[in-house]
Amino acid sequence: MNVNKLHTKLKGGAVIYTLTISLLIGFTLLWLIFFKTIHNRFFIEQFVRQNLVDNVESGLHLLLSKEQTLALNDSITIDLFGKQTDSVQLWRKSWGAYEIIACRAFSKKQAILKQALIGYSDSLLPSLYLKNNNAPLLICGKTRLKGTVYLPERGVERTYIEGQEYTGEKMVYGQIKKSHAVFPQLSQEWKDELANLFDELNRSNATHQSLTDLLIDSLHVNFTQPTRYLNMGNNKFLSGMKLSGNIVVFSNQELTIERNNRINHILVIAPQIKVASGFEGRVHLVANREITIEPKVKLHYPSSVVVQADRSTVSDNPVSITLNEGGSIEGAIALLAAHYTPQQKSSMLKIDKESLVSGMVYANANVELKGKVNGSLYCSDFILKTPSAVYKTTLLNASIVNELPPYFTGYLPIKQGNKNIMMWLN
Amino acid sequence: MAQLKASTLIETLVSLVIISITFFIAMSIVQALAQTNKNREKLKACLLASTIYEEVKTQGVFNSMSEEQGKYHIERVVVSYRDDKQLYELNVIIFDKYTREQILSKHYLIRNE
Repeated sequence: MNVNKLHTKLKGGAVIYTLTISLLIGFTLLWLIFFKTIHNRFFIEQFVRQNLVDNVESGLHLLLSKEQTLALNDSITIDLFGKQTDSVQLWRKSWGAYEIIACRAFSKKQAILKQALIGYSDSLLPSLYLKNNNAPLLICGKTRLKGTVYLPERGVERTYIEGQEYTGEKMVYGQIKKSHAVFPQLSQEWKDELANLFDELNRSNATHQSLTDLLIDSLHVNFTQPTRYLNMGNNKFLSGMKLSGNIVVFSNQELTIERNNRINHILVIAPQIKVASGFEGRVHLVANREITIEPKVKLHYPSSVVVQADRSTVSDNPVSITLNEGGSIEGAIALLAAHYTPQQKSSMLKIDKESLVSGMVYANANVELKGKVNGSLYCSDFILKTPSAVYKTTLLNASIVNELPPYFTGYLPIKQGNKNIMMWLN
Repeated sequence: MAQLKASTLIETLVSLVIISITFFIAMSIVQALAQTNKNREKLKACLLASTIYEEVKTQGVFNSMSEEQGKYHIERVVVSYRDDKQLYELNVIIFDKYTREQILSKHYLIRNE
């Protein structure tokens, strides 16, 4: 009965059926076209993205090349392959002893930015380079020299000081090479940048925020954002702050970093910096007079400590770095005295007993080494101060070894070393 | 079915024409959609080029050469980049092995450490 009802309602219009079927086919086709368009767009986006990733990588390779296409603290937009489809923006800026490089590849609305902290790596770097002062290096006590060492022509001799004679079987556990009277120099560009740092900070003072005006106790600035400059003003103590990222804290007077700070990657600039006992963090310190690191301070990789003498006051401005007992620095230390002369005893790098530097130490001044350097040490001369006397070119219970992996990155810009990425920055 | 109204001959002919045109258009579109797979092919070639780039970078062998991989014929051209002693420009060109049609040409910079 139902079948009969249905049959009576149907009309025999073939055109209606045909149009209905055509519409169905049309909708199906529309859906197919839509799906295919989405599909194509996905592939095109992936393709463009892959191109951007590759271009960023190429840009970073360009920045890591020895032949610089870009000056420090400058930026440039270049077409990598001259096809007008592979343009990238490149940046370089100094960050303590190291450098931050950035590359941004872009195409219409898409862009990829990568930034990294870079340092130098060089598996051929010696454990020790002691400038040739026409005097032998005197060693005693538990002093150990391991790896390739560059020594003055008169070599190394054992001595007896404070009732301690040299206890090693060999004088040097490695190869001995002759050093030169001309001290190996660091990159001039890097030194010039350091020299201008204080002037530039003072010139651009208007754009800096005063730390006391900021009613905050923590601040993180992403490295993709512009650098935040925090002026300490008359405040001599950086205390109870949590600071990380793209931040420069600077002062025109002595600045003390207290133990209760939590600091990560920031750059601290002041004429004199003191790091309070027990502090731990990852920080880059730059001064033009003195940096004192009190006992049991741990500066984790990658950290750096740099003092460069103010070039305008050559004779009256001795510079110094002191790493006190039980401290450790993973990264680099550089002490750049204005002009080294043997009489210039006041410019001094002191590494106290039970302290450790993993990475590179460079001082065109006297070094008083009682602790351990694991990496590479370049210095003009050694000084040993005891309660009874001061000895020149002498080491007592000091240790200079290079047990870092060959791919270690974090040396200073010297000689033939390669620039490499120490860490990616976000 | 006997109760259905009969369609005229003209109506039937019009229907046939409409359905024929519809099917013709549908088949053309489906065929065209099936053939436009080039972007996918290009992306696959792009990923292959990236693999070659990684290989050259890791091995540090900066030689021009050609090779065949699957259905691709690959040419690597290595030249020094703008007189930089440490930088090389690698150009990876990927062709369809059978049609010899170029699918992709990509450039990379590699630093010789």
